[in-house]
Amino acid sequence: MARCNVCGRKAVIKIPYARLSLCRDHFSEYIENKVLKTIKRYKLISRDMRILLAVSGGKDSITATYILNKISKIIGFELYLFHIDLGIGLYSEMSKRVVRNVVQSLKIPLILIELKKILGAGIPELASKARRPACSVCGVVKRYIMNAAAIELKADAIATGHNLDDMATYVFKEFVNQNLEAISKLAPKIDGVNDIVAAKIRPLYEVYERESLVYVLANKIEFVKDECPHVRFDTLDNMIRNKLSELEERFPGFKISFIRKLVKNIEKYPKPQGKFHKCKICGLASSGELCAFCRLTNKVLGKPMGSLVREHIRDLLKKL
Amino acid sequence: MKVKIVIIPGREVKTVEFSGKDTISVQELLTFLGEEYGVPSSGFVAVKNGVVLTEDDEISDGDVIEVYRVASGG
Repeated sequence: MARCNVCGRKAVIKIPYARLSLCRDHFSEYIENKVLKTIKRYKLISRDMRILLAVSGGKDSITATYILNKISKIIGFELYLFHIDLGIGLYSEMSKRVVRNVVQSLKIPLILIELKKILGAGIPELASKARRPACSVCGVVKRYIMNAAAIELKADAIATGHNLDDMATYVFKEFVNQNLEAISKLAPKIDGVNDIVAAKIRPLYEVYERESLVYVLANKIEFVKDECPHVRFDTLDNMIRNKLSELEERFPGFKISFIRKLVKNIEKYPKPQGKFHKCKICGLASSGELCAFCRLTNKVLGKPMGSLVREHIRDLLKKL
Repeated sequence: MKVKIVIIPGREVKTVEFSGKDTISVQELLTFLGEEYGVPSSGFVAVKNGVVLTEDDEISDGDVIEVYRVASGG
């Protein structure tokens, strides 16, 4: 049985890259410190900022919620949670229930968007009408609503639960596809654009996915254990993820070293070309006349819904 | 020895037999599952009676082990 290097109690994790075995309490402290250091190293959050954390209910966003809640008291920033009920049957019901339980226990304000209430349709219906894969439609909807919520809340940044494995996988995938402009958007922090694009931060940038899972399991924190029925595992992303994990097993610390080197060089990657415009319907960021969300809803529902969503969010904020 | 495994997500239940052994390490179990599912053994976390196990912990005949897949599909 492995014992904690700090106190000698039973370990819940061995961390090969740090040559450490840690018990629940010392592992929790280790991860919380790691996130705090990440926030300081990359200057993600400072005192008096207002942060909107997107929470799906999965292990990573729940880990981010518990840790940012603790760190908000150390740094002194405002934390709001944000959840979208995507209308994906029991999976969405369960996710919403988990997020509500977390909010109740931690007493953090929650902005809850229920897609069926605003649009009259969930992701499966939208995807079917748009004749597009559910994940592609879900991406457009989530990105838009998350950005709109942050803009309406006047948040300084949107925080997401993307972990080290996610980021290393995305970088490799974009490199394989030679989509170098996309790599510059995979930094721990992305600046916003005036009042049309909110800044984004990734506080779990240096937290391994395995560490995030052990954090919730060891602390018996509720999270969504099922997966979205639309998820596919036979993807390039997953192949890359597995290969990177094989490299990590062979060379402990490979992923964290890679991602830190990337951040050092990120300015060398080309920035995306083209300027942001304002969508003529909703006024948020767009590459053309209409933003992707207004185009999608116009095609599928016969009406661009961006303005309505923004209005709905403003109403929700008044009730917070 | 026989071990009952519950894979999460999905709650697929498997009973796996390791012949000629009284106990196995968690690492042996995860290596077995990794080969079966085509992922590295570090792609799983094992839990027994609500306690997270490390690779060095031992599993005995009749144990029920929850095995969480690290990569999520949320």
